[in-house]
Amino acid sequence: MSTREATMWEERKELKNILSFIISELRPKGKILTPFNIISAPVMLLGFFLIVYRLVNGLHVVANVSQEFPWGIFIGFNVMVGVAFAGGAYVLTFVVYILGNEKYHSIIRATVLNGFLAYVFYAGAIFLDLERWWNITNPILGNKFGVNSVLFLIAWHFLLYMIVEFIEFSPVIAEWLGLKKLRSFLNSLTIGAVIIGITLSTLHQSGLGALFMMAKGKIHPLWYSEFIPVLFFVSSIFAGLSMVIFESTISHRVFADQINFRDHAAYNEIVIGLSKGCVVAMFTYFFAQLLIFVHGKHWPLINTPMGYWYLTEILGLVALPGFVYLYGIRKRNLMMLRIAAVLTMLGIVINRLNLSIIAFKWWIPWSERYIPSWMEIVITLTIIFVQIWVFRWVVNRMPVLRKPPAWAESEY
Amino acid sequence: MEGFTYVDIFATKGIEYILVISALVLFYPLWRLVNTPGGAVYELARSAATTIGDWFHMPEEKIYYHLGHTWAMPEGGEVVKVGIDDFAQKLVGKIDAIKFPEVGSDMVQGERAWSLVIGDKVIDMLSPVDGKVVAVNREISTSPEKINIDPYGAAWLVKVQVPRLSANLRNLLSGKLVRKWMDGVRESLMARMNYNLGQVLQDGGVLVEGIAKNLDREKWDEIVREYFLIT
Repeated sequence: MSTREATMWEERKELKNILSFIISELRPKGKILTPFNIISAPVMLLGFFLIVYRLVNGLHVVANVSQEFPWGIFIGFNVMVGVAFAGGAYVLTFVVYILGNEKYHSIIRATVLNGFLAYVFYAGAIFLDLERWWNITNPILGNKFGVNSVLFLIAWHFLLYMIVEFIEFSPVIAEWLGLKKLRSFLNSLTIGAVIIGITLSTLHQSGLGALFMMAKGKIHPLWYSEFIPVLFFVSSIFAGLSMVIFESTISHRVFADQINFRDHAAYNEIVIGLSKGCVVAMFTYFFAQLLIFVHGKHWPLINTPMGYWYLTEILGLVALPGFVYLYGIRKRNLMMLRIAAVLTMLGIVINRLNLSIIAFKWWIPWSERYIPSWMEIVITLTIIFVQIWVFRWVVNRMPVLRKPPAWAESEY
Repeated sequence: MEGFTYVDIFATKGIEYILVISALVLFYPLWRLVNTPGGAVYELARSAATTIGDWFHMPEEKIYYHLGHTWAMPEGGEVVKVGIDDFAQKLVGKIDAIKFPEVGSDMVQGERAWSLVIGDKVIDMLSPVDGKVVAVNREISTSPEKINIDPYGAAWLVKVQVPRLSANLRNLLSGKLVRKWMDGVRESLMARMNYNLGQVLQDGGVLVEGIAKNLDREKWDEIVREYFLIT
């Protein structure tokens, strides 16, 4: 056998090894009948069926959206909320790779993975909202670019950002497969990917807000303003950080065996640090809302049912969690910080739903307005569950929370 | 000019200015609040930050430290005394027994030399020098608590004959380098303390219990091994 043949044979053998490794990793690990699986599996099964049903027969068969009320929970919840919650990835990559703060390094992989999956599944839910979903490639491949549409920008941003997030995460996949050379190459791309990722994020977080600017007159004036893009951007900072606190709290319970004691100890400091970021961003957001309120001369609107709802959101789900965060930081009380994170996330959900659904054509009685169908809710839950399943699958196999293999540690 | 009015454009400007200024003014106390922990915890942390500097007695003269918290002190000629430093004894607390190397056996710098027995755990420590063991301190095997009292004096562990003494000592830390190294060690210890600070500072608690057990009751030995560079 010549040398060339021998190398080829070696390479083929290595490829075969990797393939059989991947196949072996596909098998489930750990207990199958956990409470979470028992609840999520039937929902997902039904959801998959409904998704196929919807793709074949059109959006109207599952969703209550109409020409009058075009935005349902696929957009208002999945896309709008999912993308805001994914904001933690760009904030933390900025802190770790650009500002060089190593304190948060141990949670960066889980955050990037979560961000990537959020874009694939939640931003990906935009696919389900397209009546002619097979045209989804139009803004990318041409045919009709639709360059006048904000959605053109968002489509490109989503696509590019998913690629960038994947590149940021890819060294972990190479470590999992034991591909040393590839990992070292992918690792060298990280800083570039981070810079592009942050740029894209700031633009499309606000770009999502810009979508609502076209609905002037349809959105209640307490929520509508020319500054929605700015508000979306600022709120994505504390939405994303709160999501990181929430997600890492659960991860530290569920995947406790994968984290070494050192990370457990440093974790408290990380949560406090993230909370500080939240307080500052929420303070900025609150004052921006106040300015917009005063500038728009909205005083007379306060003493109306929508006004009370507005106050609930701004005082109850922005100012209050802000204070809870502050209190938790001062007392170094992690439980308080977790409560604040959940309240903040709830505030983001309510804010995005207000803009897209609740304060949208608020003058029309509820009996004639959009209320999600049970099928939309099942599909939405399916998307959330699938994301959690994939996250769990990856964390259980790749070095996301646990230390990378010894050969990769020097560059970690 | 009749009919000309600024009111519509500027109606809200005054309040907006006040809002912006108050936001900026309020940001200062907010920043202070966010960056200084409140009440009792703050006091504790501050007192700890000042006292922790004096926590560990690490003489900078005549003693050479290995990064695994063992030390070597030249006795004249090729013989050096070897022991564990003050940080190590405070980290582990009460030591129940020591597994010494045999007299006449070889020790290699940076490799396992002796072990501390604490409860049901056995923790290895690294040798600071290369050489042959010429004596072990039998007094310590009968009363290991002496390590907690006088780690650099009466509680030396072994005497080693080191043929390449000066080369060996160059690999160890002494003088001002000791302080720089311990600054890092202290910082990493501070970062870990968090909420267990109270327990650590209890009178006598440190010496009896050891800092590591206060940090993590279950996995304290892992913390110790990390500081002792045993992996």
